[in-house]
Amino acid sequence: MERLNLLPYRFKKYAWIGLFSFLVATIIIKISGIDLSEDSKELLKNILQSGILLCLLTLTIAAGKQEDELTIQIRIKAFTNAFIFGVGFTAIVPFANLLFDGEFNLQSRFELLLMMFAVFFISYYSIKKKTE
Amino acid sequence: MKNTLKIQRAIHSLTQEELANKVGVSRQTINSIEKGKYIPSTSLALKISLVFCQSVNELFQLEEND
Repeated sequence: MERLNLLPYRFKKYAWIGLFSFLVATIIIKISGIDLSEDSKELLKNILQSGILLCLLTLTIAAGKQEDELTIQIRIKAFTNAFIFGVGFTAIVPFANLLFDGEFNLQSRFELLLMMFAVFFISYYSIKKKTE
Repeated sequence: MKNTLKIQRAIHSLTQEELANKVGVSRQTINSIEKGKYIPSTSLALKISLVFCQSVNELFQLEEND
């Protein structure tokens, strides 16, 4: 089977450290109630969200401890599920918003991507468990 | 698809781990193949057949619903 171009395994550790740091920073900022201007708050929020997304992306594209054709196939299935979910969500949610809120829009790219990552991880680990 | 991997492994006194190391995959992959939950690629099937000195057709057989 064709090999995927994945990051080395050690990147998984970096991604977990980064993700943990960004999540802790988010919680500290929320709890401490630091007084910031609206622009700074927005900038900080965007930086933290981008950081979290980058760490999750690194987690998904970093190779496992032992990557072989079975794990590649599972990874491809999980990517497919996440992609189909993302497109379906993007297409359907604006209609749901129109129905319930009266606005035809997709509220947040961050939530969409977060859910796509969730679908990827759930698919990846459930398929892996099923094949064991 | 059914296979005789487990029998062949027993004949050759190989553990899943040892077979996995010989063909360059994880032990979980060998386990999944034995249980019929995963159908290996042609190259992996050929590598396994080389280990057991058998043809791929002898190791793997199609079932009626395949």
